[in-house]
This record gives sequence, C-alpha cells and structure tokens, in this order.
Amino acid sequence: MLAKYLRKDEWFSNIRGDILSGLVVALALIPEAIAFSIIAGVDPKVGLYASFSMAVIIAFVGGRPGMISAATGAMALLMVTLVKEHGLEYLLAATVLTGILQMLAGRFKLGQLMSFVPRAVVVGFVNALAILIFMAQLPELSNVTWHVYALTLAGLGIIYLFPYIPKIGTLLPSPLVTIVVLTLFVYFIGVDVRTVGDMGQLPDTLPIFLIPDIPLNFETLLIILPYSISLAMVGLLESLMTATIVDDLTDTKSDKNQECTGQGIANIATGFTGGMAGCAMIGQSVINIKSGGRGRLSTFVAGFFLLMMVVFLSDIISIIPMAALVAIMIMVSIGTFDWGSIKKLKTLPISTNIVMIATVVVVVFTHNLALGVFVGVLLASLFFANKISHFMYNESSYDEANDTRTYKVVGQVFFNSADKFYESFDFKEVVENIVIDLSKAHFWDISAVHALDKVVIKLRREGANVKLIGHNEASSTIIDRFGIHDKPEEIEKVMGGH
Amino acid sequence: MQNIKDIKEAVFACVDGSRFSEAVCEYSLHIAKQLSLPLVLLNTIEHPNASSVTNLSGNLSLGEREDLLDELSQEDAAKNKETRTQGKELLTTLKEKVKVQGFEDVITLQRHGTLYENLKDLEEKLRVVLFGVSGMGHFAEGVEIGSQVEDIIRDIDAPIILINKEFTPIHKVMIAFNGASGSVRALEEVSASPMLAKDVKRYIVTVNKDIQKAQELSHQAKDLIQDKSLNCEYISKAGDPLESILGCIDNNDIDMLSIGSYSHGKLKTALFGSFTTKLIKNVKVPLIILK
Repeated sequence: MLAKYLRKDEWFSNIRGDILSGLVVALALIPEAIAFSIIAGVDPKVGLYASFSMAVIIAFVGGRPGMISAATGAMALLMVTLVKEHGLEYLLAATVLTGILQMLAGRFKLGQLMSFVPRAVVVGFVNALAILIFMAQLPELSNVTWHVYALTLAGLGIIYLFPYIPKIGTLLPSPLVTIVVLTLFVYFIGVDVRTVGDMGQLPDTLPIFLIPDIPLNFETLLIILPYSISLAMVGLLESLMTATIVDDLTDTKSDKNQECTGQGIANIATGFTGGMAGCAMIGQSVINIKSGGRGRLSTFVAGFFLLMMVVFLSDIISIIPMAALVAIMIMVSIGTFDWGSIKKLKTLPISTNIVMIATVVVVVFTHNLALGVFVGVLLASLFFANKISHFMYNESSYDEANDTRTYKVVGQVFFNSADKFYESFDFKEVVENIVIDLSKAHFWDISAVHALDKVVIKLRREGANVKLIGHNEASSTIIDRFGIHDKPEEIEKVMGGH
Repeated sequence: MQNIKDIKEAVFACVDGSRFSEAVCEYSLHIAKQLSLPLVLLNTIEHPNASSVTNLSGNLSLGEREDLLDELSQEDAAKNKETRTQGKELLTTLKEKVKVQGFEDVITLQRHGTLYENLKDLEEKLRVVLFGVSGMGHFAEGVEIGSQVEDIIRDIDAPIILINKEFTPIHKVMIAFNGASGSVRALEEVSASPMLAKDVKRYIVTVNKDIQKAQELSHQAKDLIQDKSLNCEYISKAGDPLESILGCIDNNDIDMLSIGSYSHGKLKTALFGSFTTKLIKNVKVPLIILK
C-alpha cells in the first residue's frame, strides 16, 4: 500500500530536470499563491502555506507525477463568501472537510465520472478559469495611478521578451526577472505603489499543526458543507483535467482515482497546517513540463523551495510591487486559455460551441466552476439526446389480401423520441390486423415503453388486432418489466381516465 | 511467418541490446528446444521518463499548450524512431543467430511500453520468460538489479529466468528448497517439466538454523520428486541461508539455481530488504524464479 507511493522510477528518473523545473515552478507559485489569497480575502500566508503543503504532499500521494498542485484561483473564488461571513477558521475546517469528501470520491472511484464531462465542457472550464484569473486582477488595476499600468505593462514586456535574449533567456525564468527588475525599480526610484506587504501577513515561521478553532457541532457542519462540496468538486475537476493535459503532454498514464484520494489527503493536511483548499493547476503544470519536470521530485522541490524562500526572504517578498504580480497573473491567464478552441469555433458544430460558451458564461457570472460544468454537461446531454432521437423512423406497408398493416420501427426509442414514435402511427386508418415489428428498434426507457403501450391500446380501441413481433432481447426485457399492454386489468387503469 | 496472436504458449526472450542480450537469447534457445515451444524474441521500446530539452523561461504564451505538445511529440518521435531501428536490428541479428543453429520456430516482437507492462499484456502466453538482470539503464554499473526486475518477479505469473552471465551449457542445477509454495513449484519445474534435460544433475539444498529441520525439509523434497530416475543429490545445511546457498553453488560448480520468490509484502521488503533481492544481487549463476 505505502510502497506504491514511493516508486523509485517516479521519483528519481529525471533528477536534474526535476530540480531545475521545481525551482522555476516554486518562483512562479509565490506570486500566484499571494494573488489567490487576496482573491479569497485571507492573508498571503494562508495561500503560501497551502501551496507548500499541497505541492509537497501531492508529490507523495498524487496519481500524476509531474503535476503541480497548490492554492488555486478556481478554489479561491469559491471561498470568498465563507471567509467574508465566517472568517478564516471556518475556511480551514471547510478545507479539511473538502479533503474528506475528495478521499471518499477516490475510495468510491468517482474519477470515472469524468467520462460524463464532454470535451466542450472541459474547454469551457479551462477558458472560464482563464477569464476568472484575469478578472481577479482588475481590482488591482482600478482606481490606481498611471504608474501601476506602466509597471504592469513593463512586467508583461519582460515576461514575453526576455526569453528571446540568447542563452540567458532560456536559463532564467522571465517571471523571476520581472519581479526582480520591478521590485528594484520601485524600491530605488521610490514610486508609491501598493506592495505585497500591504496585502496582509506573510509567513515568518514554518507551518505548524493546528486544529481549526471552531465549535464542533451540526450548525458548523451546515455552514461549511455546501462550500466543501463545491470545493471538492471543482478541485477534483480541475485536478483530473490537468492530469489529462499532463498525460497528453508527456504521453504517459496517470491513476485518476489515486489522484482523487491524493487531493483529499493533501487538502486535509493543508487544512490542519493553516492553508486554504487547493488543487492541481493547469498553468503551473504546463510550466513544469515545459521546464523539463517529469517526476514526483519536481512537485516536491517546488513546494519545498517555495516555503524556504517565503520564510527566509519574507522581508524582500513584502516589497514586491503588486503590479509585478498582476503581470504574472495575466500571463497565467493567457497561458491557461485554450487558444486552439477559439480558432476551431468556426469548424465545430454549433451545439458544441453552445455547450462551451454556455459553460464559460455561467462560470463568469456565478464565479462557480462547478455550476458551469453542471450546465455544460446538462446542455451537452440534451444535445446528445436530441441527436440520437433523429435516429428513429417508422416504415409501414399494407397487405391487401389479409387486410394487414405492418409497421416496422427502426432506431432508438426513448424519452426524446417517444412522441415522434407515437405520432408515426396512422390511427385513422381502418384496418383489420396491425403488426408492429420491433426487431430493429431499441427501447431504452419507460417513456418508450409507455409510448408503445399507448399505441397498442389506441389501435385496439379502434377495433384492430394488434400483434407485436420481433422485439429483441433488450427491448423485451424493458417491455416485460414496465409494459402493461397485455394485462387487461392494467389497461383498465390506464383507460379509466379517458 | 507466424504471428504472435496465433501463439498459445512460448518461451520469451526479452532483449534490449544491453550486455546480457545475447546470453538471454542463447539460454532461451536452449530452453525452447528442451520444451519444444516457439521462441519469441521480445524487444520493448520504453518511453523515457525524462526530458532532454531545457527551457527554463517559465512563461506561458497564447497557445502554449498546443505548441508544447507539438514540440514534445516531435522530440519523442525522433527518439522513438531511433530506438525502434536499433531494436529491429538487434532482433534481426539474434533471429539469424537462432536460425543458424537450426531452430526455425522463432518470431520477433517489438512493442511500445515498459517490459513489465508488455509481459503483463502477454501473460497468458508466457511459458518461461528470460531477461537480463540489469537493463540498458544500468549498463555501466556492474551487476545491479534493473528497476523493473522486482515488479516483474512479483506480478508476472510465469517462471522467470534471470540471466547474469554468458551462456554455458547446463549440467548441474541447484534447487533451494524451503517448503514454501514458491519453492515447491521451483522444485516441480526443474524435476517434473522437460525444461531441463534428463541427464542434468539436480542438487536439492535445504538450509535451516536447525540441522534437523533442514533434514526434514530434505525428506519433504525427496517425496515431491516423482521421477525417481533423476540424478539427484540432497544437501542439508545448518546456518545462514544466503551464505550456505552461495557456498554450495561454488563448491559444486552449479550452472543454474532455482528458487521460490518473494514471500513478503512490498512494504516489508522495502523496509527490511528481501532474501530474494539479496540472492539476485549476489548469485553468479542464472536464476529460475517461481512464485
């Protein structure tokens, strides 16, 4: 059991690449953790402790080596009202509960439910996430002096242009260069702009184990449970999506159920060390792979160095101008966005585009990715049902000698095509015998069975002899279980209302 | 040419171009002849779990994921093409060698993925699997256990022969018997199955702290051997199992050792080490391992 978490090939097969990429990721995690703490309305130290604990624990218990988990924007957005109305301690409790729910999801193998989430919804989720991360930066850019705009633009300029410098361009992480340059500039020129230190407390010690200071009663559970459910769902969704992205990039497999359990364990530990709930991050995981990270070691190094730097360099971190962070977060937002999906809008079917855009719109308006995914999956299912319902037709032929009308039903009969099925019979026709051939039809649910019953009853009422033939195994089991047409006493019941 | 799908049972020689590949092939040929089964030369193309391109710029641009996917797949494609060609060449050379020795029932098989994964997929066709104790990754380190060896021995349900030296004819085989289910099967494999020729001398060694216990085990082993015409010698020793077994191998010029494998769970093994692993590390002759 424990040994599977300590697989040598997943830890030490890419040592150099993992350490370097882990450092790059650690540097990029700091601004993100601070930014997401600000979104959630807590001190930066809550996000920084969370990022440390998530990354380090997921390194051991996650199901996808090389994937980065930390405090994330998707999760931060879900906590805003909880923090505002009840405070940090309730957030920590909710984080622990989130972890418990996620562990249960892993235990019951709910990772497989991801197969119900169509590609269009995944793309919508990712794009919505990118937009939310961008929107979260807007408060930092409103009601400020022009200096902030200038600094942010300069920061973005460094991020995107620095890598073009030969040699050092691909050796020094450009977000780090941005932070250093802007911080030095602001510090020595003395521009009066907001810095990280203005946003709240930074960590000055290593995290310690603490039990959230809340009353342990039913009332508390009622407060945190709705938040924990949302957090658990969004956390698993983003983690599993990110795992798929990393799987594709590295052409390797991951264990989705182990990832669910791992996210749970990491969140429980995070809650007890004073951190906010987190999950896997798309942007950081892509940066990790791009920088050469592949193994569990990269995730561990990222978390470990993050903490070392934050604890020992907190004085320096507090003078970083917020504009530098905003520039980096805009970069993360741009990198998270699925640009290919916009280019493909023209070529994809309209229903797919509607699903994607609906997911984005719902998320942007509710700030809840779980709701967006719910609406997306619902829409996609309806579109799918509608498509399948087209695959049904009723062919009829008439045999004069026996005065027999034969209906041959071909295709899928279910809730969405049941009415169409009913209407495809000619009830006005006067005929002695009617044969309904179902050998090419599939009956999927009681709506279909009910429609067939209605058809048979109606035809018999008109005085015809109705005969059903050739219903295959699948149809006949459903008809047997739900059907009433051949039980007279049941027919009485149905006809009673007419 | 025969297809792997039509083969019910075969001797599998796993070759990767490392230093024991030729020996693996020769031992496999010998066993295949003994068992009158087809010989499959298996080469797996492992996906390296490491990166070669270093870009530490740490930024994300529009469409970064698509670009990165393109870049990484091109990199992999180039690498895989190269290993594929090398593997093909190796398989062709070895196949020729086998045919030159008058054995025609040989097919080559090249598959993507780790050796472990592929053996798991082929599990029901495996009569015997032979591979080198250390793979490509350990070329320069002397006899070190390859990273997948333990997993394969634990999980793959087939007799496994670990090759750790050049091929020499098999005249004397030793069975380390401790009464556990694996060693009972090891005893059966080398006495009841035609894997080894009739005239090969069998040494059945039992070791225990208590010499009486060792002798009891020895009697137990004697009863298990059905074919009384085999040339068997029974040795019972008191003392440390590892040292006694290694000593017996040296004293009697043994060509192969047969044992039952890992009897403890993974965690216990990870913490306290395992007798099987110690034996694999120290023994100088090929090992027949049964679960």
